[in-house]
Amino acid sequence: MQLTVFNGSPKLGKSNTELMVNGFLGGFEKTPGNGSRVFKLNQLKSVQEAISIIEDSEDILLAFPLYSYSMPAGVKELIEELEPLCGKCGNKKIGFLVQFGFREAIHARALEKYLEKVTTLLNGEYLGTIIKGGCDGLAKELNSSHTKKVLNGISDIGRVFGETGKFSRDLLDQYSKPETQTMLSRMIMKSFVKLANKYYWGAELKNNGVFEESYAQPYKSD
Amino acid sequence: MKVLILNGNPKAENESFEDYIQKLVLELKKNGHNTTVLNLKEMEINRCIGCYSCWLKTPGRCIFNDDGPTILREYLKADFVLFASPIIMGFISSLLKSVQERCLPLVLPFLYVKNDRMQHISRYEKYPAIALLLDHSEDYDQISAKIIEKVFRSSNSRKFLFTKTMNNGPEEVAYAINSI
Repeated sequence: MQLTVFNGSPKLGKSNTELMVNGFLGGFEKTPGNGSRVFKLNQLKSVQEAISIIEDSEDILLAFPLYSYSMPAGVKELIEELEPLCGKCGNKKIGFLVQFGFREAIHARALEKYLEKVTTLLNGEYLGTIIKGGCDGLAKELNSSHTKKVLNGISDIGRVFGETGKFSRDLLDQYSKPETQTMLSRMIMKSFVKLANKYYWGAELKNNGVFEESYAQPYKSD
Repeated sequence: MKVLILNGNPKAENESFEDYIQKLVLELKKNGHNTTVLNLKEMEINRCIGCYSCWLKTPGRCIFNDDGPTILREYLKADFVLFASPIIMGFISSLLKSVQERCLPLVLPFLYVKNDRMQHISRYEKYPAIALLLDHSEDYDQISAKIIEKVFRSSNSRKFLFTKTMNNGPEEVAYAINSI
């Protein structure tokens, strides 16, 4: 199987989406004969170039970070330009990968419904959406046990896709957990976010010499 | 009440959308609202590149020196903001989506747990109530409208009030705004 991957991260440099895509492909390419080509959406000459690549592809993965609870605007623009292909993608299988910082999968569930709907509009086969929260800082902490667990999980999803041509619903459900915080986990998460605020975000603000301005309100009218 | 309409129609040739917005503005002014319309297609709006500068390097301030800060200042001044967009491929326009993303400086990077999920802490004490106005073209269907509304309801810094479509007359939408 030859898989076409679009990385829709708007970031200019390395991104968590890129790391996740590489993890997925590491599993996918374990099956002999499988290959891939990856395109960074914001490095293509135009959206039309992406459309031409999609027209020439049968198996497609569109990966991106969650921005304001849906796809980044650049990914939405790509979807808008796909309008002429509505009902004409019967030969295509399309899957999605969405990663973000919040831990809970529920933040991406409305988007998941949208992605399934778009695939239906195109008359493509919807493979599913890989949803993973808790991904902030993955690229900065490559050797942490959390990063390894996230990457091993997506590699497994890629491996099974490489073998069967389908996303395993069981693996997707397992991988996206937690859906929300339970009564018990809320207590743990409250402690976790306090630590994250102080030692992750707070430390970055201190490193940048702007900790005192953390709560600045520059757009407030006088 | 100070009302801000963010007109996310990307195509000037979509005249029915523009006509509707003009009629709505007349109704709102007739009802005494201080109404501002920002026609986003006429503004310079870069897309968020996820650099987190607005959180970590220049807190509260976006690195882009375009019309984004003007939009955010108007947003914070308003009592009510109407996000208006045609439905294109089942969702709001990428133009309006760009503005939604550029609202990132309005929250802090810091997190808290609200009910069963994480959220970002608000940067400002007060935010406007918001609502959606979608067109009723052939791309409209209830499932799309519900998905869009759910996305807008997800943000903790906004008080989401309603979704109306252009199937509702401008008087009806103005009435809903009067009732706030």
